Amino acid sequence: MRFEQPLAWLLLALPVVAVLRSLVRGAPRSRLLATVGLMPRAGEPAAAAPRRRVPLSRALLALALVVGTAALAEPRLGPVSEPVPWMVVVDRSPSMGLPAEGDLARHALGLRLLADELGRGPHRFVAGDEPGLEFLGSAPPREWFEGPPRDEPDWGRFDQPGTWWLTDGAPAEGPLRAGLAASGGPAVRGLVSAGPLGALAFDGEQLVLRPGEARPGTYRIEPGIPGVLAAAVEAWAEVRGHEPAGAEGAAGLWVRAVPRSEQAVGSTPAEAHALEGRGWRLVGSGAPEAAAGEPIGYGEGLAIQPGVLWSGLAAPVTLEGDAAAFAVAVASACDRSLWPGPDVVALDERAAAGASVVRPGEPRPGAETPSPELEVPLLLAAALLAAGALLAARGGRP
Amino acid sequence: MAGSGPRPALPSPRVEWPEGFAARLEGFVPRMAARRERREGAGGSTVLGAGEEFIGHRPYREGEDLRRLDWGLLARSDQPFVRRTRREAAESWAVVVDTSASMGLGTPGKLSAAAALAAALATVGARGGARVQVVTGATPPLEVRRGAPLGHLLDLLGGLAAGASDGLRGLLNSWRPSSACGLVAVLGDLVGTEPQDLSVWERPGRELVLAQVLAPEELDPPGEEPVRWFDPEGEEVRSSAGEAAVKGYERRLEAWLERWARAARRPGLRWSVGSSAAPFEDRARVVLEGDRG
Repeated sequence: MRFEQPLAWLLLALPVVAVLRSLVRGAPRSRLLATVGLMPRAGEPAAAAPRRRVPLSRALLALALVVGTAALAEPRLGPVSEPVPWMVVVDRSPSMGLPAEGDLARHALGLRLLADELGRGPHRFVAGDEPGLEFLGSAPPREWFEGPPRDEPDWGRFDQPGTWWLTDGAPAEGPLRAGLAASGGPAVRGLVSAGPLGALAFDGEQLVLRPGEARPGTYRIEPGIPGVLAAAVEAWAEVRGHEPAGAEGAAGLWVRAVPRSEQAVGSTPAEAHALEGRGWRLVGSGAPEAAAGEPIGYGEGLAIQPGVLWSGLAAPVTLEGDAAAFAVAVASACDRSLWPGPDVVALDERAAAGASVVRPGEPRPGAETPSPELEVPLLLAAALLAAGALLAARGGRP
Repeated sequence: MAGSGPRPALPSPRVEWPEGFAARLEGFVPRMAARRERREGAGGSTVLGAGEEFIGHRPYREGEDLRRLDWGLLARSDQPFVRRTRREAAESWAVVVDTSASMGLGTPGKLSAAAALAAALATVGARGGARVQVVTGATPPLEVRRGAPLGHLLDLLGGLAAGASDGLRGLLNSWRPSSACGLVAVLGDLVGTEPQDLSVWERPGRELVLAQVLAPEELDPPGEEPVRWFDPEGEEVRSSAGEAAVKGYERRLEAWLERWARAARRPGLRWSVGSSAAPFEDRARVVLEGDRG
């Protein structure tokens, strides 16, 4: 048995204090008594304390107090189980960084709504765009809402009991079983794209071209990238007017090699592997490592994420076929992957997210539901005992 | 335990009349006198003069001279009555008030209760034709007769103070009721007195009525708190702490009172006990009509 409100037991301290106080005797008072000769002298048998009997009324009253306090402590039967944290699926799309109220970002307001509803946790935060990324605490790290844009979660995967969706605009459908904490927020003006030729901005009603706000992109190529791929990226950057980023700091496009697993490293080096596109073929000596992110159409060895172009094929490689076709394919991938900066947010992300919504879902699996069955009988028993004590006291029974 | 700490002063050393005492007394006396008349039998004759003139009947009292029994009335009514004479109608009473120091205890004080009771008894007796002598030991006896101003009596009793005399023990040595005294009422706590000590005031045909007055805390001392008890008339000091000592006290008190109750079974002696907080009317009724308190 356990108690939901164990602090209620502190109520028992009150009668204990009263009893202790009564036991602490003060200095004897002096009084006159004409019949003092009848008072037993100290040590006389008549003065010996008789066997102390607890009066029935007091015993019943004490029992009523204990039983009543136990009822207030909300006893629960069953094994003690660790509380299961709520799973909070976090929308990390760019709109979550936009303001919801004044300077308060939508993700911050959403977390506040969630804390009002669930308390400060700890909760199990799961990145909706990357379910393997989790954080246990009262709020996810700030970095979760920084960096290149991320996709909105596939909400349907997370519509389950014990789960909350943390987003800005309530999804068109659902959730049916999960809870929803949506910050809402107004439409936000600002850049929706930017490049070497100029910028496109949303002024609250329509898009406005701003040729004067040209902003070349930046790129960085990681060592170990196959030379032919690096050459294609550099050619793309030169044509577009993008500039190489320094060794430190952020880059709009980062061409990275996929870290190799031991298995891939230990594979037969003599075996040839190839990536094939329309009119070209890239042949390498090592096994291609699956690249994370969206494949760009010619196998798992080349994939893009916002701001990152992953290369799964180890150098050295040989390009076979139409080199121009290969360069066009790489340029297309770079165009799609280039991240112009945190202030550039897609138009659909800048749209109004509506009003705040907080809608509880189904409780956590395994969470205890209150069981009042014990409290009611205990309170009833306490009342009966108190009534018994009253009757015993009135009847003058010891 | 040897006495330590200061001896407390008497809580109620002076007489304090109960609230509205004079009015209550004036209401009580005629009612009580009428009840006594009805109880003792209606005397149809009028009191015409002193001597043995027959004026009515009254119930026979144990120990009385059987020659005074009205045998004819006994045969007719099967009830023992004695002939009441003019001399007897003007019988003599004595109301003895203990004024020892111990009477200054209690709230209200025992002396106040005894004084109020004495005033009621004396006034009822005088109204019934008796010559009532109020004896305190601290002041010269005061005789109260029918028609006498009530003020003298109340002045005497209201001026009493606890500790002004040796109380009952002193009176037992120094004072005797007259041979004509048909009733001696003793009002006090009877502490330090045993039933046999009072035999010097007993005689055939006389009623000795003992109205014992005890303070509430003498009847029911506090149980839990530690108390150092001082004898108001001696050096005795005893302590009580807890129920054990109080239970022992209560057992001894019960035994002591039981001795008085047993003694009161002998002819011519009546005894009752009550708290100083009891209304004087109730105590007076018990004393005058013989009901036990």
